[in-house]
Amino acid sequence: METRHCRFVALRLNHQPSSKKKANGNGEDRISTLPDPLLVHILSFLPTKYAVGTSVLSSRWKHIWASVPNLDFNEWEIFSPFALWKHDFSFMNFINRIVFAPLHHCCGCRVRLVPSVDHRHRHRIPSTKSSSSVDLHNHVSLFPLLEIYYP
Amino acid sequence: MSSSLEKNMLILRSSDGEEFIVPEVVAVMSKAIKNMVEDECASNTIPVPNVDANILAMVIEFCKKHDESEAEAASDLKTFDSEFVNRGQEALYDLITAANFRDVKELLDALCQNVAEMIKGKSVHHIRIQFLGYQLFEILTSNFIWNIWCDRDFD
Repeated sequence: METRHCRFVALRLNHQPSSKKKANGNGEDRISTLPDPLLVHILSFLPTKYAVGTSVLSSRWKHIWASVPNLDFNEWEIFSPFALWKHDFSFMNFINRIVFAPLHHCCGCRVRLVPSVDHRHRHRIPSTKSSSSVDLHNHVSLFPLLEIYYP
Repeated sequence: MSSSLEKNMLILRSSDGEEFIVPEVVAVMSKAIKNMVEDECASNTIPVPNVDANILAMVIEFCKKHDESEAEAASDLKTFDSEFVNRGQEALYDLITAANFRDVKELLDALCQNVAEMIKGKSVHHIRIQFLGYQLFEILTSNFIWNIWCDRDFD
């Protein structure tokens, strides 16, 4: 069983196209050669859903979206109270990890209707962030029923 | 040489040595060149390394249009922008690099907007093939292997 497991992992890794050369009919992978800030700038014109979706393209794109300054989780259907109930802590942890990521030097990340962002991490929001538009505090009272999610 | 020129003209030299004579008002749409002019280190010819003649001509065309149509309707400018950025990917990425390097904000925004429009709403496979230069068979094979990997049983 062990050997079989390992064999498949090896195959999968071999077939990761990111580790291959990129010469083909379309021309090589030009867009990934752009520097990070430019990719971030491009992603900032996309709706958040598509911007985050680019993280699965290749290893180069995995963390690019996290630096996009205007992430907006407001439009996601996951924000319905029922979805929040269903996914209980996973989504909350997701938002926590984005907003409080040490590398995330964004100036405005709009996270609305999140009543459950961890209180204990509030002090880690730099003043520049909290003053612009990470207004998590104001939206706490929108779902008083969900306040039970506070740790 | 500069004495024969008008006072408000600048010479830009691209990386392959071609020279463009542009009015100063057009050239200073690039923040990098504007800084050079303000610091008065742009006496004669301004070298624009990393940008070849084709791309530089395009950038100058864009800046000229934006300078002329300052007073015109914004919708005209919008249509010009959308036509201007409608190019092949090669030129597009060269332009993005040049606009970033020369710090031309309007051009950079228009170009990035265009790339974003192209990416928007496409599937992962589509983006991989169209932008990241993946072959179709790569995607098919990796999917095939991935399916086997997911359907495996642990008995």
